[in-house]
Amino acid sequence: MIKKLTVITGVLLLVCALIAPGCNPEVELVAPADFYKGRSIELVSMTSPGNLNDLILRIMASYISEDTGASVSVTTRKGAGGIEGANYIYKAKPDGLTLGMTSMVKYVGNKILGEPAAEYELEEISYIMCTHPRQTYFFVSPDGPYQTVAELQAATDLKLAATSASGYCSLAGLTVIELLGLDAQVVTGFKGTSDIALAIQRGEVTGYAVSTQQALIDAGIIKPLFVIATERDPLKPDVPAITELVDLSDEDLELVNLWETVLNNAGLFITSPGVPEDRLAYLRDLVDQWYQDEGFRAQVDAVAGEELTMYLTGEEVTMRILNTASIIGQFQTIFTELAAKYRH
Amino acid sequence: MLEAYGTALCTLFQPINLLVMLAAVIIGLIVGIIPGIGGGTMVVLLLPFVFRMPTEAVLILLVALHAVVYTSGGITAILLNMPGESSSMVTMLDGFPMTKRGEGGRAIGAAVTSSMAGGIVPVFLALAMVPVMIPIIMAFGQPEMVVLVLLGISCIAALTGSSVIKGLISGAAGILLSLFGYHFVTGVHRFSYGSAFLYDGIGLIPLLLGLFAIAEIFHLIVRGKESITQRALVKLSGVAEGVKDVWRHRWLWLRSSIIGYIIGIIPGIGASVSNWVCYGQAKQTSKHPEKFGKGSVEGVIAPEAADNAKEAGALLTTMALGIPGSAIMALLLAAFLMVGVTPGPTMMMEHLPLALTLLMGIALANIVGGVICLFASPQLVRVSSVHLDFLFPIIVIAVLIGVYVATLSPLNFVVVLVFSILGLVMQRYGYSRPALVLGFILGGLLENYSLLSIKLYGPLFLFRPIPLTLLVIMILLLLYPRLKRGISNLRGRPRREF
Repeated sequence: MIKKLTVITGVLLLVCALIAPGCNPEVELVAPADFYKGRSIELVSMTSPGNLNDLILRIMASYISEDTGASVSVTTRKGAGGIEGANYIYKAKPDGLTLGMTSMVKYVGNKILGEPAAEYELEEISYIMCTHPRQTYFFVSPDGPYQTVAELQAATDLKLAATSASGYCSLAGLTVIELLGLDAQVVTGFKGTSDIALAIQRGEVTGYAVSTQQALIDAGIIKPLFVIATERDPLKPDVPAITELVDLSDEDLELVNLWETVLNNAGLFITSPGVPEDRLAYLRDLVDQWYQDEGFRAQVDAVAGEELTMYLTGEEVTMRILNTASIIGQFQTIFTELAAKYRH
Repeated sequence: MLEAYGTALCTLFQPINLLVMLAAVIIGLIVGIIPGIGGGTMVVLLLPFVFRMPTEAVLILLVALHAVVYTSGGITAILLNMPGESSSMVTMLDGFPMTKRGEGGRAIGAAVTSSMAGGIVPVFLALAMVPVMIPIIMAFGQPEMVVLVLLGISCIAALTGSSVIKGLISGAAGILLSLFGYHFVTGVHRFSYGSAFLYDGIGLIPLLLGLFAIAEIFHLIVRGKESITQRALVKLSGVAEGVKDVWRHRWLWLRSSIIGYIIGIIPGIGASVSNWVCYGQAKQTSKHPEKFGKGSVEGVIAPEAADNAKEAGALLTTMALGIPGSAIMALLLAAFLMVGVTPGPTMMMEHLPLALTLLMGIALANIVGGVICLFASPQLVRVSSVHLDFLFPIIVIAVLIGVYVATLSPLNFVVVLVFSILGLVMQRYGYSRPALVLGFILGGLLENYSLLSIKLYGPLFLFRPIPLTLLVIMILLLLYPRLKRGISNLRGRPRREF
């Protein structure tokens, strides 16, 4: 009997020994602060090098390395408008060692437009935080013929510029036309917002909608006419909200709300789905600490060319994205209809 | 004004700045030689460190590093038919044939001198250009861009080789390949099959390296060659011959520098078009156009002069308007902002000494980089006489590393393989690979600018004053050799007696 029990115990111990590595005790038992020490973290930049989100990620790289004790490498996977990087993170191991920064409007916009290559699921990705959620403005030339919304509404055959047909400017342009009831179309295909700003100066297009472009405003190339929001942006209190200028229906207000909450040019800091809660909380706490640090904020403000103190915590941004994901079909319909009407 | 130049010179020659620049030049030269890793990659890697360095030093570091990448980038193109970037490809068209006939040193001498001098002249033009650059930029809208791209594409005429039909087929194939991926103007996915890999189309770097570097070595091996050339010149005098060539063709060099500089000032188009346009005009105005593509030194001088000049032009636009003309200029713009300098119209007034320091920094970096390259050339040229058994694996590894670092996608190895085979077949049957690349690079641009122009100006967009003038110039350039022959025939013909 004793012999049998010894054999059974031995077999059980053997089975446990075999199963144990699969359970990965580190995941369950090691404190997050200790987990990262000596490990390698990959930071994936999903926007072009030099883009604000890319630069903020590179500033974060040295802070992550210093605070976690991990070695950090930054890779650029900006292909397919950031889809390549988002897919990469979506498929990465759920260990919290693959983090990335993407543009919120592109990340959400790709799903709203039903991009076939976008394999990631909004509900499954783990969100660490959202940097500088900046509102979307409508810009015109300071010397151009349209200086008020009334002048825009009275005009015919206006042209609003955009980069990619499925990009930020395009979606924002469609929204502006719909909300103001303009006789206009969105002209897509410009190489970048700088090209659009020049086209505005040349009088080739009327205006465009995008997040604030402080350098171009300072250079006197463009000026903001209004912000697509229900309230004025505290950073630019002189610029009116669109709701102050036109009466909007409930449906229109819902669209404005979408722009206020998720379709803004913020930097979305994410990691793979299924990362242990304590590790995610640890990463979120780290980011909170950086944003309390004046040195970090000074560096972020320097690359932005303006003060970017606002950010959304991981919990806040998760809630916003999950809310959007739950009604994404509704927005898919709206933007498909708008594109068919106003994009040529 | 002179005071600003003096201040800039003093700043540049401070020991710390000189040291930083020397380091940048060495890094830039090494980076330029490795295919796929452009100056942009290095600038990105260095950006996080800019906060810890003095303003002038960090900007000199970035600008100098970027400037010399083009100087050394042409060397691998000339010696190994391995273009790191599309701009080096134009140099390769005549540089590599020169290497094959044992004139690699001369080609490098001409390329480096032309590139170096092309980077110096714009510094002296910079302040004179500031008042006229805004009108130039404002004059070049979408229709004008169409004609500029057309001007570049017209170079297919210079690249057709022995068969015009085969050249046109190659160019058309290149344009077709450029249409893969998501189309930004219409929002339509073309041949991407829902894949994120093909969303942005076929990558230029894997295409170039497959089509030229690997295919060339394959071709040499198939033909039973033991090395690229049996007569690798290892004397400095051979390099000096190339330096003298630039002096002999000084007007071509000056013309190319100015064209490159002006195209560089126009945001968004410089890198793709300027070298081709300069190559095209060099052939059309040459006394020996038939030698182009077979190892003409003029075909090396023209694109190299344009290469560095256009970068100086692009930097001027970035500083004076705050509008970056290319991805690398966007990075430099970010670096300016990071150190607290806001580029824009006020920069040329408020930070004139800094702007001049940077422009002079480019010039000095070009001189230092150029001299290093010239003295290293005799040794570098020896590479072309290395036995292919040794050279082949090294090139394959360099290509694969370059492609992976540039794209981070192993799928691009397949692209390299496909284009290596295509390159071999094209070479075997006499189809023009440069024409394919030209179509590939400029085809997408032509489509986008044309569609945009139609949307903004209607179908008659070419009948505006500037596009029409440019079109006439383009046609005259294309017809120039025939016109010249016709005029000299008329002059030579005896008068009829009545």
